[in-house]
Amino acid sequence: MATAAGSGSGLQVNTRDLQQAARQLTELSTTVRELVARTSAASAAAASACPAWRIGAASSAAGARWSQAVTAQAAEVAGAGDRLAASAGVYGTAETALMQKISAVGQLTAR
Amino acid sequence: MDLATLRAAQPDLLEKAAAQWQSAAGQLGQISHNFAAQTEPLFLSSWTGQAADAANTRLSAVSGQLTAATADMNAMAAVYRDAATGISDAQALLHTAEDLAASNGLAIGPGGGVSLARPAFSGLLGHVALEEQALFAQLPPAADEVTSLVAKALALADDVDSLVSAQLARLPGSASAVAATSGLATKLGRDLLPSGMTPKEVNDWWTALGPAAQQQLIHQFPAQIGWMNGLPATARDQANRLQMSEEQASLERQLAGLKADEPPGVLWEGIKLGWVSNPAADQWLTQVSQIGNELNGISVLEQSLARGGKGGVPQAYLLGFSAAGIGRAIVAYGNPNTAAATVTYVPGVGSSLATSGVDTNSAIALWQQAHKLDPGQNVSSVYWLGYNSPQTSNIGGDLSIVSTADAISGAHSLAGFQSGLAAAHVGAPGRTVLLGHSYGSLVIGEAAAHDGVRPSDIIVVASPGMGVSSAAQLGIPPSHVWAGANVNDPIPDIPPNAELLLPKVAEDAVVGAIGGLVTHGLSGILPGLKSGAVAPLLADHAENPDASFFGANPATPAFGGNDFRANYVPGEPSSFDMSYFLSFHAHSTYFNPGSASLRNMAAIVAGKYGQVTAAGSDSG
Repeated sequence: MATAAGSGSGLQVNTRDLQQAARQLTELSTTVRELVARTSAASAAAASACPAWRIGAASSAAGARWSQAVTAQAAEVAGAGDRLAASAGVYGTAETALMQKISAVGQLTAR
Repeated sequence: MDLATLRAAQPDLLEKAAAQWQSAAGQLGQISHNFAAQTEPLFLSSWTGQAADAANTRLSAVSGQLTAATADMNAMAAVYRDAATGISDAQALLHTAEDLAASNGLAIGPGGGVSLARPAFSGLLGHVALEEQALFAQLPPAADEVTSLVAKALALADDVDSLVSAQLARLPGSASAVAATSGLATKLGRDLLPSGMTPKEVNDWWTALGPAAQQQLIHQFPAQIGWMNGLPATARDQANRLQMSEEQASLERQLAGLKADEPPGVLWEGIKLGWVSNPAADQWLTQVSQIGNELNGISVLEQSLARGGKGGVPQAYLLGFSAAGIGRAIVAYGNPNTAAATVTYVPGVGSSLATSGVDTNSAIALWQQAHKLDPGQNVSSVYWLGYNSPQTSNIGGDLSIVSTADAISGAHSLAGFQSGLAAAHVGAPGRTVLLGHSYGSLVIGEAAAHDGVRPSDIIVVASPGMGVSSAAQLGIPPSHVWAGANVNDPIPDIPPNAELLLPKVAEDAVVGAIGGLVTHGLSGILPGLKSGAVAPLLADHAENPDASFFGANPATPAFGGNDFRANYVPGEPSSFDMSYFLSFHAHSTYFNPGSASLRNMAAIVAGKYGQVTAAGSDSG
């Protein structure tokens, strides 16, 4: 558990929870990219089922829009994961420093 | 749209694409669920401040995006499924046209024009060509039907193409639109399910939502969406199947929990009382039995649904479902939203989810017979257990079987369902037919006489009366009211106030006795009710041959409708026999393949009124 000072309020966070959330985001981003690849293939197959129909063109367009949008989201998710991981690192460093200070205070008190 | 384009389409590939999108949606849905569960501890801790707020906002947004993206993917799957079904239907119409053309020596040109198939030596000699021209000018009568079928196939293909491509174009697929849908979802949960709207307003509301929001609602509120009159059959089907699957899983969990915690059958109550039976064990047994019955009902329904879409049976749509109590099931074979004719079959006493297999077979038999009569006509055959059918399990003391109460409340539900079908119908309104068997005919009588239901035709078979005294009271021209009664089916001949004519054979047994008489499938023989005991019924029937328990017998000329030919069931007693009211096999044979009653009902459903044979006629 890290305790840090900021804006005058006590901030407490479990760094393991932060790291876990960061890992979740990174994995999520990877899985979403895989799903995009699968659904893009499905849309292309649907378009080839009736190429001379309006459905064919609409399917290709919808698939492309979908892929573009969700790929962008996956990138955002990965970025959020990176930021959380970095935060976990900062809190972890603060936690270590804090523990060192507590230890030093303890030693002084013991004397 | 031209014929070559229609022929070249491959709906099976669209089905596969739908399955891939559905599978991916399932995976993303699972990830979304896990994500929410695994990031939750972060916000349950005492972490506060700007960083915590920012992380909370960001992770909530990601969660919303996941939900919206899952909804989008489900929407894509649904759209592709619709496309596959629509294109298959259009191709089936074209195949019917081609078969009809081939069997009549006709050819369908690339533009859809119909002409005589040209012989191989055509055009070799000038005079032959002249004779040929004269010959080709005389097309057989089937040419008109072929032309009409081709036109229908192309029109349907055009409709499907424009509808599906418009839906695909509306799918969000952009970050801002997905986010908007996510915001909409929050709103949906609060107040977007409409109340107090007419089915037409419900249909307009649904159309305006767009596919992604529709999918979100279906997944969020399957029980409500499944019963919403005015929604498309595909949406109700998807919602009800989801609901069925969820209820099945929930019941299985409950059953497993109960079985893991079975109480002892007896308890030791000390030396004085010894072993005594454990009330908790009786309660446990009742619960296990009830859940077992509900799971059995779901299993029966799954089998009925599985019959759709293969072996000459059209696609099945689950338009209503509940496992609670006796259960509810509304199953359409063929899409009623695009059908030229839709028949809604209301079953009688003793119907439940567990018996729905027999009744859905009847709906299928009717569809197949109608299709045989007119292959080019798009028919939907609906089995409607949307009401509390009186049950026979408590026959000794259950008054519901001789009461109109269930029919009256069922009529309100039936009226809503019929309005919903009309509101969700695409294109020109189709013909609608209501068909009631036994007590189901009373439900229809109440709906027509008191709830403003106005179908194109009303058919009743085995009717104990419709709650009215004549066809003219049903709100449609009497020429479109049709009734059939098997020659030796005693139910339509049970007199009004029959319970007063029967001997009191036990406590409350007057109710039980008449209950036995109006119960199909039960032998009708109750303790003490021997053949001589029903002599007063025979005498009363002889005196008032046009009367029936719930009013007048519709299958008589006096009723004023059309009395069509049904069946004589060999081996069953006739009205001249003292055991007439004691055997009821002839009450349950109206949908038997090859029977006159099934042929006549199908002819009415198909609108082939000229092919209906009247009661007492020798033909048919």
